[in-house]
Amino acid sequence: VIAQEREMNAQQINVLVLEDDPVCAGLLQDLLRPVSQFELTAVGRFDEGLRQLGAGSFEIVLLDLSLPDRMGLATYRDLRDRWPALPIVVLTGSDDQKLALQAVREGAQDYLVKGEFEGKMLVRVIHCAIERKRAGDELRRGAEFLKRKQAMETLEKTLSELHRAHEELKDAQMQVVQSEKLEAVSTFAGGIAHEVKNPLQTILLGVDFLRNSFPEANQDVQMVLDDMDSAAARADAVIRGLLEFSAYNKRDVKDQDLSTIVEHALRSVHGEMARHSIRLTEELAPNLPLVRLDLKTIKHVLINLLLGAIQAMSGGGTLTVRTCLRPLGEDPGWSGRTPGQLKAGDTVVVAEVEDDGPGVIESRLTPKSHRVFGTELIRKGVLDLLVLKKVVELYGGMIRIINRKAGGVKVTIMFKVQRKE
Amino acid sequence: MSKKRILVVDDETSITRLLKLNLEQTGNYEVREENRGARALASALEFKPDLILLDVMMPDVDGGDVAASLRQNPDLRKTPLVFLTAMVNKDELGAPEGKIGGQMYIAKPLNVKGVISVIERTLAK
Repeated sequence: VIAQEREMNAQQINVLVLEDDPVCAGLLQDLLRPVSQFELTAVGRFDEGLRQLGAGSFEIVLLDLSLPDRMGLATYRDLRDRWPALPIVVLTGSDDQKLALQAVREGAQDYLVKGEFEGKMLVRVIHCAIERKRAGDELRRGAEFLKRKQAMETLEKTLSELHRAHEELKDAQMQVVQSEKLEAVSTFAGGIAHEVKNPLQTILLGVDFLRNSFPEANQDVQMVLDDMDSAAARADAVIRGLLEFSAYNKRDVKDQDLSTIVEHALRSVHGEMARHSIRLTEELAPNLPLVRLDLKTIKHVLINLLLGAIQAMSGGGTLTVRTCLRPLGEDPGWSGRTPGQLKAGDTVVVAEVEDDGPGVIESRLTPKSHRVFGTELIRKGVLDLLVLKKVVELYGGMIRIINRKAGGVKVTIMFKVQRKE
Repeated sequence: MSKKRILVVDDETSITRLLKLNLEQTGNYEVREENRGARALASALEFKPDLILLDVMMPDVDGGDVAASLRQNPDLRKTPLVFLTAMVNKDELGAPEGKIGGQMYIAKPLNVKGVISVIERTLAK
């Protein structure tokens, strides 16, 4: 107990007494004088009290509620509002305890009834008031911190929801723009295609006529005629591709699983594979993230890629078809530009078609490699790679073609995975 | 064997001319060109072709209408008809030749070999 008291007594406590009754003020002086820890200042008016508080530093105020310039609860409230951190003990007459209790309810640390306390009690009340105030403030600060933390968390949650909503809106907007673009491209392509068919017919018939008219023509002439013939065939393949894709003008763009689309496409070329004695290695990843595509269109693209690969191995071979999820930019040997919305590091779902045929000429491995498919293939109805590339790009994806080290060609199509919660 | 008479109806003169040159070059055909759809019936009645190649989309008259008027004429009702078309039905995409609504068609562009093959198969029926 002595040790505790010593600890409690370690600091000087400056007490301001606001009391207009000099007898009462004197009594307080007398009671506290034996305790060296306390330094008492007594004033009789409220405004004088405020002045003292402004000038000095006090640990506690003993406050009479009836001063010449302030009366009743207003005395307490005014002081509390101006010095919110200061512990206040209300002094009251025995007839006025109700008022004092109200002051305690509103935040005063304690009250003393004049004439009903002695020295030890006064000391204890002062110590307790100071401690209670400190504890109360800490509690309030804690509560406030907690409230702020909760508010912060709510804010963060709202913010992330807002962010997600924004992303979703952006996605939705992009999809609207994309499907409108598809629609417009389709209509336009259909119209153009029709207009180009007649001139192509003239060129083809003209080449035939010249060839048949000069059967003994020299090699150069034959070569020129052949070149014109294949040029017309290629132009026709592009046009046919445009027509074909514009035919799907009732597009059905929705979340699709690329592995499922690949399976559909493989089923369509089953007969062709058997005819050319092609072995199939399937490595289709389950549960790929869905991507927004038109099933028919992308299936069509894949069928054409598969037919191209099968054709490249007309003497038999192994066709490897793979789907997977991976970050973009890991293909060795690719230096081409990345189109549109895709950038290195994006997560993409990928479908790969590999053949072990003779491969393609290096110079044709550019992003413009629409000559990868030979004229013969185009004649058989396989769409020009340029068209396939454009179609894939319309869906925000891309196509890459590389010669495999082991021989043959690897065609990769990929689509970006939309970020989703 | 006498030459087969082919009437080619297409508004593109370069196409009718080249079809005529190419087909006659084989020595097996005699070809008459008609560039106005509205004149197709009259030309056919006059020329009495063994087969008619008819463009589907012509500026003055629709190939379908021409076909209907040919079919309604008792002298031409049995003359085989092959459509030339720059548009192909979605379900028959990619096929350079085939049938639309039971009618033979040639999808432009097609080389002479292809055209002759369609003509010969149609005449054989």
